[in-house]
Amino acid sequence: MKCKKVCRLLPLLAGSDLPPRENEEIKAHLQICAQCQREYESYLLSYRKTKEWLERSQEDWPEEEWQGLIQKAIQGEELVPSLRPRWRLKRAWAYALITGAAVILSLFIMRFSIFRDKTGWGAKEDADLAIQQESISMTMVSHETGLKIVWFFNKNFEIKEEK
Amino acid sequence: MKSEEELVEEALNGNHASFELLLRPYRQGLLNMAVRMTGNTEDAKEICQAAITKVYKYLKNFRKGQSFRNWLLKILVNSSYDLLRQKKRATEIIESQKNADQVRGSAVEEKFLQSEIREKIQVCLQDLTPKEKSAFLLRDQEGYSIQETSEVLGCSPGSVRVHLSRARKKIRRRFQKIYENKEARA
Repeated sequence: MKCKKVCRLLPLLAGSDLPPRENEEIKAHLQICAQCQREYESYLLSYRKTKEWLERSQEDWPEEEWQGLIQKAIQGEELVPSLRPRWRLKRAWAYALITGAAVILSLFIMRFSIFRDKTGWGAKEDADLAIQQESISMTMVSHETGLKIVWFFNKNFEIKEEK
Repeated sequence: MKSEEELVEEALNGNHASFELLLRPYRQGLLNMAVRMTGNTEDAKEICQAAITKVYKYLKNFRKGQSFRNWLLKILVNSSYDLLRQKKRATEIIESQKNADQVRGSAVEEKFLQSEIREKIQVCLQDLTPKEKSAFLLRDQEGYSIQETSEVLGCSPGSVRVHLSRARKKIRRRFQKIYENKEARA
């Protein structure tokens, strides 16, 4: 195992939170690497000290306060009316609005296309477009001579050239 | 001595004394966890109140065979996340601590020597995110296994290891800073 990987796992080793295999591999590495060993000892020291502090610093409720807390909980009197942030509710409303808008929009589009089919509304525009599409042109201009050639293709792909 | 399941049953039937008896073994643990999460007793008590109110309200949803302690801590941790988020404490604390660090500088050691153990803990925990803090406290303070911690936090054991590893790294960095200053002064 390389030093980089060992260093990454040292915080977990300090608290014995590694699987046995990795544990053994790292410990074998620590026996041959003084730098990693020093790192490990420093993790171990901070781990043990904080654990000791956590154990020594224990707070408790005064009996009256504890009883009052239970009473308030039973009566449903929260000190804070709601700890749930309001944005969560807002987000739910936003999702509902977006979904609703999407449904209305899709219904509108569907209705519009049905109306188009039934009345033939927009058919003239479609026909004009089809006429326009009956021929296409391609223009080529020479930069050196200024010669301009235009090729016209009809729907049968017959070519007509203009210079 | 009644079992937790019996006490839950009685509490659901409206026996308030049973509800109190059910929570009594965890009262100290709840307060300590909340104090470490928030960094002050007032907010901690507020969180405990909110958590216990939720416990009473949703006791009917508690499944038999489930660990009551885990369920209780899960509610407490979530309540503390909500409070931290609502009050924007998470960012405010970090910001204020960043600014305070510059002021502290060489005074870290003095502060460390003079302060109580509780303050030392707060100094070590100040860089941790709420997730890292809860993973660290459940594992190193409450003595939960990685698996149990993952159940309480509602994430995978792998994520717990990541949070725990980051937490211990940050704590060590803070710890080293304190000791470096101490040695430099000596």
